[in-house]
Amino acid sequence: MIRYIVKRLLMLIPVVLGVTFLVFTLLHFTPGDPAVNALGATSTEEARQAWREERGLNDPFFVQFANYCKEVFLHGNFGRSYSGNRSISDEIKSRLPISARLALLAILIDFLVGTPIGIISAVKRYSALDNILMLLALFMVSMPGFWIGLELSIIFALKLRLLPASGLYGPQYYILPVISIALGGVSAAARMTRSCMLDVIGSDYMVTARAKGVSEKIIILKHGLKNALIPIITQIGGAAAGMIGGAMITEIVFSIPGMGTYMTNAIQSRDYPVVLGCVVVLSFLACIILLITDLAYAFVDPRIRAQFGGGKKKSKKEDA
Amino acid sequence: MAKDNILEIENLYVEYDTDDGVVKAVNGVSLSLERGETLGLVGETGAGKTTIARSILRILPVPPAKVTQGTIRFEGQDLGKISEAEMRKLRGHKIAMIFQDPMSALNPVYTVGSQIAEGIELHQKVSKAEAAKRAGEMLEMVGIPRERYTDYPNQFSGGMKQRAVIAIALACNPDLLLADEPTTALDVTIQAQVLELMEQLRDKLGTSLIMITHDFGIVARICDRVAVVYAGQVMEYGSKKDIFKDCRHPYTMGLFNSLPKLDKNEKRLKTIPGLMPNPMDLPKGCPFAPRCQNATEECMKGRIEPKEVTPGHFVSCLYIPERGMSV
Repeated sequence: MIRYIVKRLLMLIPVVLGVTFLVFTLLHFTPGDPAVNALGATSTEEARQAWREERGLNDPFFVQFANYCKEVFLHGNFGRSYSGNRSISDEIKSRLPISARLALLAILIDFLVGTPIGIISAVKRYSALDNILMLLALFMVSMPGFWIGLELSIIFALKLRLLPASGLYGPQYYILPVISIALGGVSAAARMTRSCMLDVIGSDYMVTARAKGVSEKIIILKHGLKNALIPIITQIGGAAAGMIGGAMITEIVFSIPGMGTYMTNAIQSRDYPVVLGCVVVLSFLACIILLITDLAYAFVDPRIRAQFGGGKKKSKKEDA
Repeated sequence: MAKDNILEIENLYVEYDTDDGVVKAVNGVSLSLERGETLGLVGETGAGKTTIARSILRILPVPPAKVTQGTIRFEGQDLGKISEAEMRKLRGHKIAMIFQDPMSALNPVYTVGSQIAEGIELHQKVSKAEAAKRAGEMLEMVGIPRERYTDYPNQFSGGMKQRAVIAIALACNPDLLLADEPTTALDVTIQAQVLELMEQLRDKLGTSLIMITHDFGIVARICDRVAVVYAGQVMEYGSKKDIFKDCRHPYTMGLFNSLPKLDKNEKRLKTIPGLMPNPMDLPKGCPFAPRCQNATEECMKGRIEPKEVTPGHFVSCLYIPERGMSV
């Protein structure tokens, strides 16, 4: 197991380097002059030239890339933004926890609300309750999070005046954004759980458990759920990886000072080092989340644990 | 039905309500089992054998299955009338079942040992440690070393899985054991081992046994009484001697005739012409009539009640021969 984790962590290096290279290249060849953006249209050519020289933008492409990688991966320094000339590392440090907190809360809700709904639906399949829940889930999963966000702020902030609609000055400010990020995931998790549970409910080991005299509740929650968890984990893990950066538009809707707003603003103002820095950090986090997802599989399913090798007393038993 | 019958099934009807129509799986089956006795349920695939066993335990898939008529009495108690909670106390404790397919009957994400211990913990009100200890003993009883307790089913071979399934069924020392083709999924050498094991355990623990099979070899070896089931009805029912030495029903005879003879050089098996009737559209009379050489119009008219030809030997046929066939 430890060997597997180390292997996966080592694999992070080429992945993150690759992502960095791709985004770096794309931004490099994007039309438009960053110097004009940074200094304004009225600036002189000499000033622009000096600015470019100072930031190493006149160096050959590969030299620029190598220098960037050196700064980022060896010193953790993402450079300074074009507009405002602020440290990107500091900016990310203050914004990332906010986005991470949002994503984490949303994932928790996905899991804690979506999975039980799916289980209830599967156990009461084809009943009115099942139909209503699944119709709702289909409705929610089809709606983009930012739109739900807009609707929620109209209802709860504007009309009912119960919750704040923008900014981030206390716990209550998290409620609406988290709900609008989570709703899609809750529905997806519920639908996935339902179909997996239905698969599992029909299997022979459920009958074996029933024949042992185990109560229906324990059969579903102990014997069923653990078997159904793998695809649910896949789904929620994938959603989580996306959520870290994907809540961008929702963050803007609620004007939350997270990674999403930072990145969107940077894209609009062609602040390439900021975009690049955000993408590198987010891709790194996505890889970590996917690694955790894979480890969760092993935690749930002994067959996958066996495949990870790494293992205590496995090999000699298999040929017995 | 005097004596000490542990199980009495009377006029049992079970239906499956599917999208395509109503499947009549069991149609008026009556059976009884004396304490300590072994009853063989023989018949083709789809004859309703498993459905009979599952309706005893009340673990039919509901929906679509439904017991429409009949009573099942276990130790004099009507299983159709007791509550689900009371039924749960019987399941795995007094009545246990061994399943057909050992490959899928064990839960892949729990250790084999814990799956055996689960029933013990539930029914015998013992501590976790005590249950684990007894589960270890059960494993040893079925010939698996105790160290394999913490293994997962994927680390077991097919034969070992079936032994584990047997250990689960026997864990609480049940009074009645339903074995649903326990050897079908296994190869011949393992079959012999598993049968031997079941015989030993039955004799040691005094368990009554219902053995579901389509293998006459197993019947000859292990059963005291035999019921030949066809399209959800009992065609012939009697002691092993009645069936093997004096069989009277044309279906039973057909089954025996289709066994290959070792002393003759046969290229093709003798089969019974035709197929089992569609359980959604059963003939009104004898279900075997369309394939029976002796059938007349009289056979198609209505249900044929079993006749007792010799004491304890019942045959459901209008034209029972004077003398039976012997194998």
